[in-house]
Amino acid sequence: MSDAGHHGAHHVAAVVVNYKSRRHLEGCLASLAAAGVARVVVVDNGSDDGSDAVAAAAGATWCPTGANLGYGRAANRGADVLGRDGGLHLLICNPDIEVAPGAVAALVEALERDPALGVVGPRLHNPDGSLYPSARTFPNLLDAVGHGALGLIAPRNRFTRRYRLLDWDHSEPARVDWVSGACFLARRSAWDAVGGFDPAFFMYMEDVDLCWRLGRAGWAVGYEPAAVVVHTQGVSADQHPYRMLAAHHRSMWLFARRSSAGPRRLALPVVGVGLVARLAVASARRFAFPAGPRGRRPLA
Amino acid sequence: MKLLVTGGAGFIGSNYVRWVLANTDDEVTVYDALTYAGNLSTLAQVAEDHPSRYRFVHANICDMAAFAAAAEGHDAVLHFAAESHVDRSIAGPEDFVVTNCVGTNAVMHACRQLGVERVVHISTDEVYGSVEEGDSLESDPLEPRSPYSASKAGSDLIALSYHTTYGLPVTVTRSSNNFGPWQYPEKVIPLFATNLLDGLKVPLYGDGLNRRDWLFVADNCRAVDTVLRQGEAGQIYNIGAANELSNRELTERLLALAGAGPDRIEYVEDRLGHDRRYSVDTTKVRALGWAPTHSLDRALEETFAWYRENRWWWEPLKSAVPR
Repeated sequence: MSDAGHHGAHHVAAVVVNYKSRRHLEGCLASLAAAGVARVVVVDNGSDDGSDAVAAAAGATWCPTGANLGYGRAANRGADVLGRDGGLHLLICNPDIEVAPGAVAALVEALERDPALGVVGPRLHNPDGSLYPSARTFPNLLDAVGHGALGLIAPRNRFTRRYRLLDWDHSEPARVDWVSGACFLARRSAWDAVGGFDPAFFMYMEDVDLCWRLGRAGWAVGYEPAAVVVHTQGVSADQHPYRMLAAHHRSMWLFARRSSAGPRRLALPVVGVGLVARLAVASARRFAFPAGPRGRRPLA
Repeated sequence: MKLLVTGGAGFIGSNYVRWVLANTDDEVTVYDALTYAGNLSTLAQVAEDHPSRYRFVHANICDMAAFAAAAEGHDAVLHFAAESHVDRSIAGPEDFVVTNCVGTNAVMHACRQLGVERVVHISTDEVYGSVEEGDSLESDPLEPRSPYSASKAGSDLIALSYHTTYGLPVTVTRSSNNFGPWQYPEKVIPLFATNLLDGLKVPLYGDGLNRRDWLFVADNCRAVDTVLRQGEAGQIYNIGAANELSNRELTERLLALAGAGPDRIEYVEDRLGHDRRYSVDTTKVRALGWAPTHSLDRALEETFAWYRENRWWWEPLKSAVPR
């Protein structure tokens, strides 16, 4: 990697939230080290697979939580461990990601270029090189219902396309509503101002909620395609598929309730019934197609 | 666990002390300056019922040395002490800045030096300012508009800075309007209840359409205790009951409980800078397993009955209220 690729990365401290992901953790930590990330904390939600040895070998701080706290609370714990001297910026990531050369520096540059950004997310690739739509909109009620009802059976329906910004080529930096929590860089002051992730969200939607709250607090969210990160989806979640489906739907309900004000609150009972029905369909599909109907884990 | 409760002779603090002594084996030290709003008569029965688990220290939170001496050996500090009446803050803001900001700093500083394991700072939904629609989230910007709410916002930030800077395990609760027994008769519900019991009129501000969420104090005490034992350091927890009423609707309920008619309402000039509405999102505290258990109507009924039956407590206070 060129010297320019290291620019700014030493201002970054990373929090990797791990749950029985030793096999991927090694690659993740190696990629962070290669990117010049100054400090790494691995917050562990109860792994017994030798992840601790992998973290130690990589020189990362091992921080076992003693229980499965979920993603957001564990990330908050990591940020707390890093404290104020952890650097100007905080990279929050899953253990099943690998940052490409120059990715962290590109994220730092994006934050430094635009002081209004509280969080910036990279371009996420699936392991096969295809784009993962990691920057999305806050869905309006119609898109949420359309995506929720049709997303499982027709992933390219127009509601899902709008919600996931699928008609956008993702090649230019942009301000977006929210970016995936699988990997993003947060400005430490913005992260502290909103108290990090809301611990009420166990798994899923904590990223949507974080970006939504950042927006209410006056921060913007950015997408930076010059930063490429490869993400192997759902390594941790696949170990408890039904529990994760339930957690996902619970989180959707929490966010729907929280983000509906005024007359939109009247639609909440319908949203609640819809989410229960969707959970039933998703669980049945998972039972019938454990690896997904086309050999891939279905996206939620 | 050994708990120290600042402002434990005040309204919410004394309710918490009573609650924690009845529901846990914890020992409690009350630390209170006994200003006009804190009275030993409030805690007389508590002292009699729990002689071995209850202790009282008469001192001011701004006196850092006295506070540090009292707090030594305690596992947790619950910081309820504050100047809290908005009208008084409009008439004279200085006491509010001193007690709420300087006092909170003294409490946090001493807790840090003593290595207290858990500090809960009690605050208010008023720090978010007036919200026309929707609910305030813990991460929302603070827009306090009265000297009272500005001093509380300052105290929240001071408390949280001790977590960010020094790692002091602080949590903050921000609750909506509390009501219940032992509330000083200057606040709207006890003022109106006691006026009605005395055959007097009730002074309603402006058009009476300002909206508040009403939280029964016993529910708040359980929430504060939940945050003490399960809350995460550095986090803020809103506490509310989703009992939103306009002041006029609230007054009508109190009139009904007193068997009085609308002729007892006296509309008076509005409070300066009167916030129109407060409402909080309580997802976070509910995720800790807390939910309010008292219905508004039943709690109002219980509160009104308490004031009817406890004239001995409020009559001397009310006759001494400087108007």
